[in-house]
Amino acid sequence: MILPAATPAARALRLIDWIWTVRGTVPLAPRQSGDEALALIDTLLREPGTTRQRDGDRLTFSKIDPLSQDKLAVFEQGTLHVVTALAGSELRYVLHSRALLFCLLASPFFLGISAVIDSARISGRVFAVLFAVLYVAGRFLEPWLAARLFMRTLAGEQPVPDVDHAEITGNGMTGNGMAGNGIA
Amino acid sequence: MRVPAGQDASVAQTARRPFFPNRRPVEGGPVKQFVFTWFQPVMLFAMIAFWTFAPDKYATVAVGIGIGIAFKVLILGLEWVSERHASWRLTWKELATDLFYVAVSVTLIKFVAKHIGSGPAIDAIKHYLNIHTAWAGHIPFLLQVFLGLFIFDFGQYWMHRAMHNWHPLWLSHAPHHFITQLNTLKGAIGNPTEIFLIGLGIEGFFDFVPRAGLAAGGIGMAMGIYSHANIRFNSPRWWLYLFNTVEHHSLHHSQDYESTRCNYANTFIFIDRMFGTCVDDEAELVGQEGGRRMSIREQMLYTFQPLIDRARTWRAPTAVPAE
Repeated sequence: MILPAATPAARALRLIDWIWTVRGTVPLAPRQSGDEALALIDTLLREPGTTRQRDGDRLTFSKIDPLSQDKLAVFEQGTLHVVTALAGSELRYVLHSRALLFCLLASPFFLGISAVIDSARISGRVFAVLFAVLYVAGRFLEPWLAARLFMRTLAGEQPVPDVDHAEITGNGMTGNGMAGNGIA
Repeated sequence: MRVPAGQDASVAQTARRPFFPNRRPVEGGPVKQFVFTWFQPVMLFAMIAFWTFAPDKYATVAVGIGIGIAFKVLILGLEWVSERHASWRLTWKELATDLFYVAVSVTLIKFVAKHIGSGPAIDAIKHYLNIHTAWAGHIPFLLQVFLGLFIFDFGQYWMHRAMHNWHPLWLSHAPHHFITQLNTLKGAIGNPTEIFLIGLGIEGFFDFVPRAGLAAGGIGMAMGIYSHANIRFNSPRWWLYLFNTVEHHSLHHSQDYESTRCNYANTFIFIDRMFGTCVDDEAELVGQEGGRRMSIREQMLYTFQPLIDRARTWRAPTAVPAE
């Protein structure tokens, strides 16, 4: 959910959106232009179910039912843009993950089940703990993997997919053949 | 997607096929080769030995659950030691999704089955008809374990086969076939109605001793895990002939729907051989509708989608044709 930054609701949301939002920066190589950087990142988004749109120095994407091996499958939405500063240019990104939010919410859900269903008293609590641990692991692991992926891609170390699954539609580009929506 | 007109794999089709023509051996040194050749038979004999000789204070449901959890963790680890396909590699999101289904199965579905599953239904029937089968607990222990496993697997074979041949049951089972890779916990993925249905069995009519039931349950669980795990084994030929394996089950999950109409048994693949539905081959590309990954939300709703659509049509205002 993206609200205008100045509203009280947006400020309140900003306090908790770290649960499902990842923000980060990756430095560009000394003579790498913003255009070149975003073109490289764009190759990562040529996956089935992914819609992407380039607007100047800004690249946005959204995913519907991404494939399991899609390297950014955890993040259903994201915005990446290049910022030029005296110290050098950098790629800034904001990625949103319903999967992370879902994992965290699964913890109180199964805690609730353990309270309601007598036969699930122990198992419900065990799964509540497992989902809390899994959330913490994912909250550290997935941002690290995304940052490493962006760095390797900008350095040209990430192999470009043989097949572009995307189609050009209007101003945007969309992956093919993936319908439906969901939370994980 | 409707169940297309067609037939299960026939005896004539399966008899001509070579035995696992695409099978590749485990990559690695002699120790790794040895471990991944004998792991499954050794674990089977270890489970039988434990439940046969363990003192009564250890032969309990709690110990059985503990063994089950430890076994799942071990097999998850082995996926990284002898990976079958890089395209099936476990990701954080896949693990979180799989764990969600395991949790639903262990808490909610178990609760429902405890009250309206085959267990209470059989107890009621036995009580009503005054059926006593205490003699079952006096036959040799190993035979009790085998019969417990076989009777459950035989029922599961026909339930599973019916799910692939009758559209209402396919609606329940189809979400399980939308998994796009196989991993240790993938057996738990599916619409809750299917997990409930596939858990029904008639072995409760026989009063086997409790530890025979625990042994049968443990072995059945292990087979269900092996058949979904992303592990390359060098299973001995006799093992492949008797038991369901990831090779058999990957073919059952292949993207080509006709190829899914085979290898229905969970534990004993020889039941498929008995009825001519066994195909000794494997697949890497798994899933349905071209390998589309279905979300949890869609998996939960898929079974009821025709009813939801009908309700929406019923509630929608009837269009009045223009004059």
